[in-house]
Amino acid sequence: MLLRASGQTHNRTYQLVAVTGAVEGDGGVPYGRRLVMFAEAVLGEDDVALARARDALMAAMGPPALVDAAGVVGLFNAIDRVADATGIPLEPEKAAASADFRAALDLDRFAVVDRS
Amino acid sequence: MRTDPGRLGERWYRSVIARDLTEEQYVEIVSVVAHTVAIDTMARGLGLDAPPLPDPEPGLPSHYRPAGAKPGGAWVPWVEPADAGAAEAGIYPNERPPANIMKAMSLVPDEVRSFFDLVTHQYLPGAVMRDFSREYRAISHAQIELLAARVSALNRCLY
Repeated sequence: MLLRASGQTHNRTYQLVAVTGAVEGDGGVPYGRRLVMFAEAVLGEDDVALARARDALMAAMGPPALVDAAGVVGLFNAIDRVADATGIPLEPEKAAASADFRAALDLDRFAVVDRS
Repeated sequence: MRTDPGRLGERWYRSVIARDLTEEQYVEIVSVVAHTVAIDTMARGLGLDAPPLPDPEPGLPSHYRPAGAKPGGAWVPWVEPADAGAAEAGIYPNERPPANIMKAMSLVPDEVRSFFDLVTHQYLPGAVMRDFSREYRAISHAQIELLAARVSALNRCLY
């Protein structure tokens, strides 16, 4: 939701389908493909692919960007666990604001209410 | 919780609470897992070894449970801002209602404080998450949110 809000502020349209990994390019986000490949590699088990993704990101964006990207990937890998282990629902205002792209990307299949 | 959080369900949670743990113990375990996952995943991203766990410190668990905790929208009870006592001071922002992710671990207030300290350092302080007028890190808001959303999709997490 904040990805779209960021784009609206700057009059840019991001391809939200990029969050599913189904976009070959950057999805409208500068270095988006490299960032997605880095996130996928960090959460994956292929250390060679991770080293390649890390090197590509650092070459393109520099060491500070790599540090920040690793921090965000780590933090959201944790936040997802807090959300899924405590069974929190989406807040009503977030649910309303994200309804269209949740439907378009079929994200509601991840809802905790469907897992009991 | 560590290896496949997308499979967790309320029936499983209820069975754990009925059989093995208090709700506060469960929430504290969630927090310990979340802290270590955040730090260890960042280390993996940077090609570093996971930092060693700190040495245990002497002392007894407080067994504190906020008097204002009650069932809300989650599986675990939580503390609404209006029900927060002195021991819960400062766990929520003053200027806006807390997101559910902040209330999720409020059964153990110190875990909210500690985890959101990590949030501030590895993501953004709450006050600037929606300030798109400037950038605060070496990567932009859009780049941050793309990473966050891709990680959540990989973890099959709707929230």
